[in-house]
This record gives sequence, structure tokens and C-alpha cells, in this order.
Amino acid sequence: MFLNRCFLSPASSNSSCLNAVSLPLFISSRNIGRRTPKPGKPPILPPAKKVLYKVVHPPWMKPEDVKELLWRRHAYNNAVVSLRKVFKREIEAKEAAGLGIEALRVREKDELNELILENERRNQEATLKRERQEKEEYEKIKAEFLGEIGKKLSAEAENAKEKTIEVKKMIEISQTFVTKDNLDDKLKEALEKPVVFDYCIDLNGNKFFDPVPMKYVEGTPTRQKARVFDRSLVQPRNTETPPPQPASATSM
Amino acid sequence: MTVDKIRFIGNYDFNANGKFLLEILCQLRGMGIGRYVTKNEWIQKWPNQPSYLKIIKVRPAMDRWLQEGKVWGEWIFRGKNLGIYEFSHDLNRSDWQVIHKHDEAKYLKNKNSMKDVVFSETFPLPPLQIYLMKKLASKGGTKWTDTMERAPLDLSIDPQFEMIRKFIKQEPLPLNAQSIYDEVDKEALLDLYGDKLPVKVEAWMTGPAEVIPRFHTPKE
Repeated sequence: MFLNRCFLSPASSNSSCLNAVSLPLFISSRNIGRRTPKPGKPPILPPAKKVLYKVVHPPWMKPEDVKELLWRRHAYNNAVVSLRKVFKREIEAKEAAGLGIEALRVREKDELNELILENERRNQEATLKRERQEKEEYEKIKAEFLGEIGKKLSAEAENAKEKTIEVKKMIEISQTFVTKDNLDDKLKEALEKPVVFDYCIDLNGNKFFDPVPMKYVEGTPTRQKARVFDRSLVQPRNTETPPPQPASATSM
Repeated sequence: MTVDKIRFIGNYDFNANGKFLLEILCQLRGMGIGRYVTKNEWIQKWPNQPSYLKIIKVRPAMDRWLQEGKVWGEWIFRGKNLGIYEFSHDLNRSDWQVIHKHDEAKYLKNKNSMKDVVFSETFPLPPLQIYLMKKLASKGGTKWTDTMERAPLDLSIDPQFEMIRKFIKQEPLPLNAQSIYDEVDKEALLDLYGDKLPVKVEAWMTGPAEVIPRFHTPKE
């Protein structure tokens, strides 16, 4: 309690401890009790010198102003009170005629309900339209897809057909392919039956070999093997079917 | 202990010139029943019109200073008999004076009395209000007449004049001014305050000057 007193009343006798420190008026030390202390001084203490003999004098008004205001105040108050009633009556008349705030709220509510209904109708129409459109689009897309699928399938079928033909052909051809197995045989065969392409051919399809190819070289080959000149100028020799021999011609 | 000077400090009731009512009545025979008392305030404000109180019943609270109690009396205020009133509220003003028996005739014979304060029954509406009402009428389809420019006047009377309310009347006066202040009888209204006007008129709130108690002071 002593501690509380010390903080509360800077002007009291216990203020010697507070001379060095200036504390705010409403500090409260609530260490012991949790109640806030009463404001000001305890009633038993005398008032401070500052507040003694303090008299409040309201500032004077001019007597003429006072006189004017006194009677004008009555007129003004009467008028304002009557005007308030006038406004009240106006508002009540408006309410009775259906222009008041309550009627407005009711109308707004009704309008809102109507708008909501219309919105619902519009929504339903839009749903139907949307469903129709979606159905159409679905049909269209389905047809497209099916078309594409059909095309792809047919393309594939054709491809398969072509490929089967090719493969069959290949299979057929592959009978004559040279593989590791029949390599030796094929080589022997090639050696047995050589093909000579050194021929000329005419429009009728007659082939002329010059020199006539020989499988096994017989006799001694000639020294000159190439650079043969225009043989058409010479008596044809070494053809497949030997030419009709004149009496004097001898083969080389 | 004697002191040289006595100095009064602060605001005191310097208008008061008399004694407390109960102080007077307790010193009279029979508690002053049948006697007449006046208030110095009334004498100073309306010196020509007699205002007095004829005592009928007294019940003092017998407090130390005789400031509390109830006094019933017939109140003649400014020459008008207001009937029997109970005085119990503001008895701590030492403003009362007893009327001597030989002065009673002066008061009772005095026939001067206060005049009625007459207000008009209607008042002119403000121009903006008239304009808006005309607009509303034209929108609603009702016809606008000149009589609609004036609205019925309701009086706002302060509690301090409640006792003379029946003398404040409204009559259909043929006034047609633009301003409410031109239609009011200035002298009649100032007569309500008498010769001694207040020193200051502070900013007022519209409506009767009611006392709104802000703090609850419990009676001991």
C-alpha cells in the first residue's frame, strides 16, 4: 500500500523520493493489488494552491445581442419544430402513396425475382441451343473421324496388298539369290555358263558377237584384243551364225 | 476568531435579495398559512405586475439550513392566478420576501396583469422547401395554391414558461411575411423575460430548453 501511495500523489508528504523524477499523473503501480487507483487526490487532502479561488467567468455578450437572441430563439425553435412535423407528414404521405422506402424495397425485391426468372429462362434457352449445337458438332466430327479412319484403313489395306505382291515377287526372285550356302554352287555355275555382253544389236533384235565368245580359250589369243576399227567395213567374221563363205575367204 | 476583511470569491447568487422561503415561513405564526410572499426576482423583472404566493400548506424537511421541504400555495404570477402550485425544488435561493400585512392591499388591489403572447397559426415555409413541394405537386398532379406556402405552426415552449402556457396562444393572424422573424411580436416575447434580461444566450439546441441530467447524483 505504501508503494501505491508513493506513486499516486506527487504532492503528498511522501513525495521526497520522487523529487528527482517527473512521473506522469496516471502511473499506477499494480504490483500488490490489481485495482486501478482513484483519480486525483483523496478527498481529505486540501486542494492545491493552483485550483484555489479559481472562478470561471463566462465571457460577456453585448446586451443588444442578448436581447435580439432571446426573442429570435423562440421564433426559430417554433419554426424548426413545425418544419420537422411538416417533413414527417411529407414522408408519411409518400409512404401512404407507395413511394416510401419500404414500398421501394418491396418493388426492388419483386424486380429482382422477375429478373432472376428471366435469367433462368434465358439460361434454359441457351442450354437447349448449346445441346443442339453440340450434337451437330458431335455428328460432324464423328463423320470426319469415321471418314479418316476409313481412309486410313483402306490405305492400309491397299498398302498391304501392294506389299504382299512385292513380297511375293521378292520371294520368287529370292529363289535365285546367292547366299552363303549356295555361293560355291553359284560360282561354279557362273564359271560354267559365262554371259558375254560384248555384242551389238540391231533393230530387229539380232545380236552380233565379234569376237565370238568362247568359254575356254582355244589356241593362242591374238595380241590385239581391243581397238578394233569399224568392222562394218570389213567382211563380217566371227558371228554366231557364220556368214556364207565365199570360195576364197579364210577364217583368221 | 475575528478577521479584518471578508472577501467573497467565486460566483454566488448575487441576484438574490431576501431570505429562504422556509426560513421565513418557520418564523411566522402558523407556518405563514394565509400570508403572502414574493420573490425578489419577480419584483425586479415585472415591477408593475403583482406576483405573489399565498401560502396554503408548508411541510419543511427540517434540515439544518431550512432549504428543503414542500410548500403549497396559490400562485398569482404577473397578475394571473395560476392556481395551487407545489414549491419544492429550488428553495435554496434566498430570494423570498414576506409581504407585510399593511402592504398586502398594494399587491392584491393591483389589477395589472400580463398580456397574452399571441403567435400566428401558420408560418411561411422556406423558399427551397416551397420549390421542392411545387415540383413534387407537379409530378404528382396536384394543384398548387398560395395557402400551401404556409404550414401550421407548432409551438416549442420552454419548461420555465410551463405555468403560463394557457396564456401563450395561437390565432389565425392575417400575416404574410417572408420571414418567420417578421411575424413574431418581439415585445411580447421579451416581456416574458421582464426588465432583467439574462447576461448571455448560449448556442441552443432546437426544442424546449430541457434539463438533461448527465450524472446520477444519489440523494443522501
